Amino acid sequence: MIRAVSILSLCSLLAACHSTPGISPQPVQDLTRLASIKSIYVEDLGKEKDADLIEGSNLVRDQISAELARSGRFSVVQSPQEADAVLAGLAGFEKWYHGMEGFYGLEGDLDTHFLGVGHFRLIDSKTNQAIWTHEYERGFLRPTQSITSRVADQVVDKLLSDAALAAKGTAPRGLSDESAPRQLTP
Amino acid sequence: MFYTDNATLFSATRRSSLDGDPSQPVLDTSVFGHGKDMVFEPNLRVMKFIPNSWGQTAFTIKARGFVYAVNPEFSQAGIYLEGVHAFSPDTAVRLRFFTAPDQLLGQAEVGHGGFTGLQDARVSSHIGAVRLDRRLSEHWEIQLYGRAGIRRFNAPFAERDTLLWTIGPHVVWHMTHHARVVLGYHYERGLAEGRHHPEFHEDGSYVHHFASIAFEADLMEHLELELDFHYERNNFTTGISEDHHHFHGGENIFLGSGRLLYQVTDNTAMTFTVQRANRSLNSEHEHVQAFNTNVGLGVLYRF
Repeated sequence: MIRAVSILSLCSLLAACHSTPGISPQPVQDLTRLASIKSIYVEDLGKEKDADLIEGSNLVRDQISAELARSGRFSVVQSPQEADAVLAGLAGFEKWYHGMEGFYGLEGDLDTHFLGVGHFRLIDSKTNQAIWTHEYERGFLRPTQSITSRVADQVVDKLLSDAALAAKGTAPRGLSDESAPRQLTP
Repeated sequence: MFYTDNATLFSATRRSSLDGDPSQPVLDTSVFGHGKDMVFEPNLRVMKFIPNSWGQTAFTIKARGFVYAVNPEFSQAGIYLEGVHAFSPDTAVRLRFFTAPDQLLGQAEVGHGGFTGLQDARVSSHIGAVRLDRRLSEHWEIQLYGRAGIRRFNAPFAERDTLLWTIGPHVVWHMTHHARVVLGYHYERGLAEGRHHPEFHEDGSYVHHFASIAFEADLMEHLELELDFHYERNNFTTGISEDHHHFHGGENIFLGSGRLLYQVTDNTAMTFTVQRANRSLNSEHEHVQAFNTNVGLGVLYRF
């Protein structure tokens, strides 16, 4: 009995420790407005109020910019004033270790594992309201894919796919009425 | 989860590393426990980073257990308390306290102090360690390591109680950001209580030399390889000629190990470990040789 209680207590404690860095945005998908977005400015993704500092934000930002520009669907501009929308949020990775060796980057990337982090908001430059949000989904890593690529690929793929759906005037697949994100009136 | 071909030597082999406890005692002559076993090795670590104006500090509490399936009496646990402070990305100091209470080593014959016949030999280790890490250049790093502690045995083996201290340098060659070689040497002096009691005919005082070379590299983005080779030499320093086990005796230990780590998901990594140790004890009256092979599969999960 005591053993069972101890194990249950430990499991509860560990579950309580299961944290997601940063603040997850409320899901938003205003497809009508998204369809009209042509230019995007990608903000600094390394800072967010009340969030821990994370690493690799610049890499994610650069990869998102490059992939969006390559897509042909959006142009990436150099200032928020030039953009129809601003991609903001927190993205990068947290390190975790199987030894104490990777502490403070003193010994490089060895003994280190990477936890992807990504909370994204696409904000209308004119109204300053969120048009679209995306939360990084943890999952299986490809052996040759860096964690920053995974975070960047995921958000760009989702944005392009939702933009394509928006262009067709259809709702994203897999969203029931109850689970559907909040639709903002344009 | 590990398969081992020698339950008595398993924990000593697993703890043999530059940051581990390479001089953990074993009972080569135990009358039981030399057989195969499956050992579950749970590890739980809680870590807290505290950034501050003097650098970055991390506190860690780690509990590590060895749970034996065939010989459950060997099951044991160790607790590590560690504090690391990095003054800058180039300089850090680490403090660690390690305790492993009431660890069964095996059974041995006793014939003194009111104890006779076969008795369980149990030891509790309490060791404090400090390591200073200094990055000298892009490719070179030096670490200075020291530790001191005590090993207390149960009453029938009280003459084996040992005070120990260790000192040694480690040199790390960072070949690239994804590959490094670690060279280390430890000198350790162990002073056993038996040196004050020649009537027990047992003085396990020793001088211990431990040399290690390790190669670690990222083979792919999420696949890491670690290869280690250790050599350990224990010279027993007793002057008690009636101590047939230690007088003019020494011990050689060779240990090779390899580990693959693969990060499967953001939160999960898997490990595959193989270790092989060869221990030989020689004294004027005794020659004991023992081998230990451990093969293990593990899962790491980050909460």
